[in-house]
Amino acid sequence: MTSTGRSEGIGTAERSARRILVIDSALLIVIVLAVHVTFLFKGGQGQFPLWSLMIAWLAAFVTIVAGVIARRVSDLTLRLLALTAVALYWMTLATFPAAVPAQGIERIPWTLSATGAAAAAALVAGGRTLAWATVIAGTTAGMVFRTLYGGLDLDGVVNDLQALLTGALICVIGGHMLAVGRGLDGEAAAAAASASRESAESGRLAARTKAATLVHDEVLATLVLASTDLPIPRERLAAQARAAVSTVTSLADGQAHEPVVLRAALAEEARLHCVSFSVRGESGPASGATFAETHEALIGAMRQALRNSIQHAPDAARSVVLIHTDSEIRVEISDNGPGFDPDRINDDRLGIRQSIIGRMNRLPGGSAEIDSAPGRGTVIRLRVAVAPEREIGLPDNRVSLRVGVTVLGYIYVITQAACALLSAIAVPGSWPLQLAMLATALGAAEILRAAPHRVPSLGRTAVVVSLAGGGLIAGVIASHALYGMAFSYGTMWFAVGAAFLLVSLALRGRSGVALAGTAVIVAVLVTAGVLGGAPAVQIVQVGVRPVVLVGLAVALLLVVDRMQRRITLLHREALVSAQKQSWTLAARSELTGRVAELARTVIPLLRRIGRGTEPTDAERSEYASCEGDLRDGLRAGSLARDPLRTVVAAARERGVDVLLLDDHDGFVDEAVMAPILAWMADAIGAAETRVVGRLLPAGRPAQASLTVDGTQTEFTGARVTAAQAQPLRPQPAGSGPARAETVSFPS
Amino acid sequence: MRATTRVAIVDDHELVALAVQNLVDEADGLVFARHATSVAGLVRRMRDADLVLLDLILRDGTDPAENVRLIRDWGADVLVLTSGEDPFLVRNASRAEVLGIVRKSTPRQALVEAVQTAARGELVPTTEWASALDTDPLLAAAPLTFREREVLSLYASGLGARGVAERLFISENTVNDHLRRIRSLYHRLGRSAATKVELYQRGIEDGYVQAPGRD
Repeated sequence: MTSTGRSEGIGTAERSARRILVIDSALLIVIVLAVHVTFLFKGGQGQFPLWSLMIAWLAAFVTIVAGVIARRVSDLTLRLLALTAVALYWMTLATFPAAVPAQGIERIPWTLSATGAAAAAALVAGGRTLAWATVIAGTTAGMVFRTLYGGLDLDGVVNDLQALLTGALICVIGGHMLAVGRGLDGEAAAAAASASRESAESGRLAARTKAATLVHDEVLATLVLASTDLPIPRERLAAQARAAVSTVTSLADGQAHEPVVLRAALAEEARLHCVSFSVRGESGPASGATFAETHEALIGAMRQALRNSIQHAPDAARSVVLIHTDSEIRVEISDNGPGFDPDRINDDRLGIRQSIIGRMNRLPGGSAEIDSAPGRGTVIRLRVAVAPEREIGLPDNRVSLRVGVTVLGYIYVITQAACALLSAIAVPGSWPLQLAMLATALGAAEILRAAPHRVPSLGRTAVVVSLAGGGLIAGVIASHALYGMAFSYGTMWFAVGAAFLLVSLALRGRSGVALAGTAVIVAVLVTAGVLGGAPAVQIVQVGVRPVVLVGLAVALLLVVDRMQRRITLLHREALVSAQKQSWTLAARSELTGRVAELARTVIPLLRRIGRGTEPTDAERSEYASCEGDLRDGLRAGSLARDPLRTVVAAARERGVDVLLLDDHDGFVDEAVMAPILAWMADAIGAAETRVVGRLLPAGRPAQASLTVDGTQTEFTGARVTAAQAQPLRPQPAGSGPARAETVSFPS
Repeated sequence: MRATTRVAIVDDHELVALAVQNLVDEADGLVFARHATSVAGLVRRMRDADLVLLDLILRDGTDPAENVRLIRDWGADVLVLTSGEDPFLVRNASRAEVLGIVRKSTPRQALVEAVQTAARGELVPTTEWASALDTDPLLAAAPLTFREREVLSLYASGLGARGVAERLFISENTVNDHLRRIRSLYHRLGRSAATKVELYQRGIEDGYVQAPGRD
């Protein structure tokens, strides 16, 4: 898989969230259908025209199909299906007045109470706005149609109100899920981009270091020897020059391979020291891709440990083990030699302190541990933490969730108050019960809201659960015993209220308690229904909504949680592969560039030396000049530029020893640099034996200093104004204001 | 004082050793002892040299500071030879007990003088050495006097001891005293706070390696 950039649109996590919502929508439809099948058998649905039933069934069908194939289709297809389902739902709402039979209806058909399912589909099709609009439209339409065409009873209105609550809940949790997905994708893309950049930088750095070391080792040594008039066997120098050429030309092919597998590199190192090597554990995606830094540190430290062991315990048996665990890579180097007291390794054991402990500590997440005592052998453990330093941060979606929960809270208060009011009107004289139920529900909600932490304390949770459960039991008993109310959806309105309290608990991290509480609620309702002699259909109808509410919330939250973990893992793999790729590319291009440069400048000279002919004086100077230029590439930094570079090359060819040092640790403004370069170039033209040009560290009184044949001058140009600047002698054009303080001494 | 000083060289380029042998044999008071391609190879045998010219970068990947320590334990003085002027490695070696750090491409006469000075057991301060120390952030926090910093900075700009002395109106001996004190202070710094030192080195090393890309 590839890393998902923002430019590519939707990311893995968001796509996954949408699929889950579509499946969820389909499940809700199935539940609604199952409940309403009971009514179909009772024949309460009959008189609608065929076309109207077709639209409703088509909406359900599309939703269910979308849910079934969600995991196999593209995101676009999924959204189109969801859009179709939502459109059909809206069409059902819109065409309802036309479809209503002349004699009116007893009940509102099932399709209209599937607001929750429609909301989930709407979230996928058009985001939160469409989802809220759908919920509000569904509820409003339900109320209006009841008023106009019949079915305006306590059960119906309470059902609509509770459907509004369910729809709102889906909007909030589903919206949260989408936001989490989107956030994860964004984070991952940003992490991958920055990891690639960093990795490319480290690849370039490694390549450059490698090139620099080789240049040092082979090329500079050869050039220095070729430029001297010391009696050196000509043919051997020629052989060395040819070897240097092949080193440089093979630089790009040989060195820029992607980081070797750690295990192979360690095995090779162990083999070189004739030590047995074994591996335990499997390398995971993160530990499989360790980079040059880690490799070099581990291998360097291991080499030092083996050397120490061989030096101090020449006769001991030695072994090296590479151990992969979930959290770290560990290399253990052990011997059964005489051992030593690790507390007593002072400066005299620099090898251990610097080359093993120091080297490992320098590595991010690295450490070394020495386990030894006189007579007990020695184990040296080198550890590198695997948990990548760049954990993909889980985006903070709490804010969006909090806003949603607040809205949900208002809807809760309003719907429950409305339910209580309607019940008090419908059953005259029952107002004390309704008021008590409302007070219990709102009180418990307030207790939960006021919890100081996101996850409420156990005590607070217990209070909320007992208020929800106890209130329900008391309410059920009172309604039956005191008021003789029939067991129905409307009279049991507070059951959904209680269930909703449990949903809030689940939202705040108490899913287990919420599920247990739901079981209690269902048990109470079933018992009450059976004892009250209510028909089974009625009991199912009343019992299903609490289960759906809490079950849905818990399931979605679980899914969000799992999604975060799974997607994070996926993204991490993508990140590692992106890192690897950019490391290799960067290292290769850097080396290719460096080799091309060397091929232009150095290789012709090396080839000439390789022919083994006696150099002329001019050629010797040329070698000296080229050697100096290469050194400048390493040390002269900002000074290795024209116009200075040309002048310095000429001076070196005249036999002047030129040393350029960039000691300014950082970027120097071009406006400061240009006059310094011109100033140095001007003075070096007349040099005879030795020149040292130095860019001074920041914070010194002067910016640069130049010593020509024992005469030192300093450059303080940037601190004087143009009016003050009086060039000591005519300056070349473009040198800008500069003042050089000259103090000369006989050299 | 020894009449003649035995000089050994550790360098993985045989030709460099050959060139140095030429220089040493022609110079007064010096005699060439041996060439080894690694420090381990040198110190394995009985000590047969008083001064070792040590290549800063050896291809076996050994640490310069560790190499210096081994040679000091063996009983010889160390003068480091470098190809370039990588300040990170120069500092690393400077913190160990070396007499000086000299560039291989130094003009012949100056190179011979440097080896002779080292043969007398005296400090061989060079511009490269002074510049590497002058810019070491560790030294910025060290208890150096103003005069010492002045001497170091001027020395790093390419002036010799005489030039610095005349510039500051002090004697050449005083300049050398200052340099010796800076050197011994630097050695002490190298021994303490190993991990902190390494951290600094790391950053500086990276900074150094990135420098060629600036233009």
